[in-house]
Amino acid sequence: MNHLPLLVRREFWEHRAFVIAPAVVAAILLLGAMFGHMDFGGASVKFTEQPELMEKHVAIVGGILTALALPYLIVIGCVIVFYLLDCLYADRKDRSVLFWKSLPVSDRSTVLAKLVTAAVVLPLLTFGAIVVSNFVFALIESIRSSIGGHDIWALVWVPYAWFGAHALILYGMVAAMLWYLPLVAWLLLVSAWARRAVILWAVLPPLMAMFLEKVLFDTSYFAGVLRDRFVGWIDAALRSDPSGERLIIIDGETTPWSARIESIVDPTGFLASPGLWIGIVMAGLFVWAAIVARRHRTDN
Amino acid sequence: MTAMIEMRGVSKSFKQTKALDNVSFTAQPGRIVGLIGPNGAGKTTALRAILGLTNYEGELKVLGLDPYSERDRLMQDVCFIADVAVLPGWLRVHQAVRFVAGVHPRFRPDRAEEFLSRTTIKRSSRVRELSKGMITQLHLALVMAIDARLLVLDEPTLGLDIIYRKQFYETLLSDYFDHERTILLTTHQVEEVENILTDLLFIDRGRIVLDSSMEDVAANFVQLTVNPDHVTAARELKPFYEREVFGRTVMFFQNATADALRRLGEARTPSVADLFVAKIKGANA
Repeated sequence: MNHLPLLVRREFWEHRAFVIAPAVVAAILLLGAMFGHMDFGGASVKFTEQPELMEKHVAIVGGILTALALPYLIVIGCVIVFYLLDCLYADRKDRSVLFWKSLPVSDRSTVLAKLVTAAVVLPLLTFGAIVVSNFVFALIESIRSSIGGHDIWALVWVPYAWFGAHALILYGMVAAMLWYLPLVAWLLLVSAWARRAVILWAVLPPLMAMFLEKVLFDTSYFAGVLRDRFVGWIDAALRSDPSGERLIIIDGETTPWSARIESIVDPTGFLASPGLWIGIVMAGLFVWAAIVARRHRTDN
Repeated sequence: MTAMIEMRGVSKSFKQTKALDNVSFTAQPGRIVGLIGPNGAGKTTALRAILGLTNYEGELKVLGLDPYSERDRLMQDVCFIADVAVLPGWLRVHQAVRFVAGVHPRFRPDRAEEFLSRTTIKRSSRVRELSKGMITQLHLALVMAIDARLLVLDEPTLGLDIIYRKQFYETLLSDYFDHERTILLTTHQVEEVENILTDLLFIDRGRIVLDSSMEDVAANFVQLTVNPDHVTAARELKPFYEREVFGRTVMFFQNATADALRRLGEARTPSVADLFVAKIKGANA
């Protein structure tokens, strides 16, 4: 695995969407910041005068920073899915696999480099992009508001809100990626194994399993397992019931958003959840199968 | 000296066909071996087994390693060019050099640069922007810069025009080949490689039908253009193949000397192409 940095770099040479997709999101967001209408936290400074309003204010700033991360997360999620389906299939299709396999790089290193690219490198880079983007976004908004006569510097640049929001985003990304590892590894396996129609191979077997289960046993256990695999990390990694005092009211609606990250995240509960570890074991099996498939399948 | 390639009773079956049927041969250092066979004879399967790209039954050692399970180690000493189209279109020339330099301990970037500087290939071009000839030159530049012990070429000149083909083999001989290295190649253009081969391996329907050095071919095989009066007499000497060329009978003999046959007609050593046809057709007759 000592070639790992170069193998990951190779993935960036091949897949320019890694850079282009977040860059497009950044361009849209920052253009929006420059020319759009954005009322950042209201024009009122009096929140800060009262501690409970301060808390609400921190929550609003944190909420906005988190919301601004969502476009990046959605886009990079799609990029990662398509990358995974393509990464061990495209070179078999164009036969360049014969070139890659003529080099002294093991199939294990190849598969693991792709896994690391999808599950570690891309999420971390995306997180970095989110932090920078939020910073630039807030800076633009602050400058615009100053020019317009409102001073929102004190409102926006609340260190605790910034730390809390980004810590929460990072925590959520790590938890979600750990929870999604079996899905990631499944896509790798399909990419390494399928002779054609990777998307169908990725989607049809689970659908067939659900269908057969319904027909044969009239149950939908597998569907529940899958559903949990998509959204279960939210329950497992975040507190479903933040203590009442942390609930805040924005525009008359109660939201579970809390200003205090430590009251939202539940890392020990997450690490103790069986779903996490079952998923990791499944991921290990799929990755192992993907390595075997990579060795066996050369081209069509 | 230990053998470069040692195949013993190697078989490989796809659903119904036997691509390799109990194949055995050895390749020694310093040889240029031509693996020649009709389409679907098992050439590519044999090469794939040697390169660790496919599994098989039987015993196979390449440089003392098991290719299928130890491919990554084997590739430190083996280079191969499968055919012209395998460099990926998105790869840039400088990226290709950088990647191979990074993963291959025996790659010398300065040599690759030297080869590339003799071409018109731009370092910033993507492979998909290059002509077929240029892609081959690039691939060759990468491979020639690797100090490998075994070079495997599968139809290396397929789809190239005659100028590139000649250049390809000239570069191969002048810049690459020496007496510690072995080259194993397959090609349809037998005439092109006839003069550079030291050994011949004919393969047909998964079986080796000839395994001989070029010297032994000259010593053992005779192509006789028979005088019309002597056809029956010549046939009694059991040629393994005969055919009509411009109304004259041409016969092929194994384990015969030209001197003994000269009284029956014009005797000479067959060309590789003629010998190939005779061996394959003779075996199938």
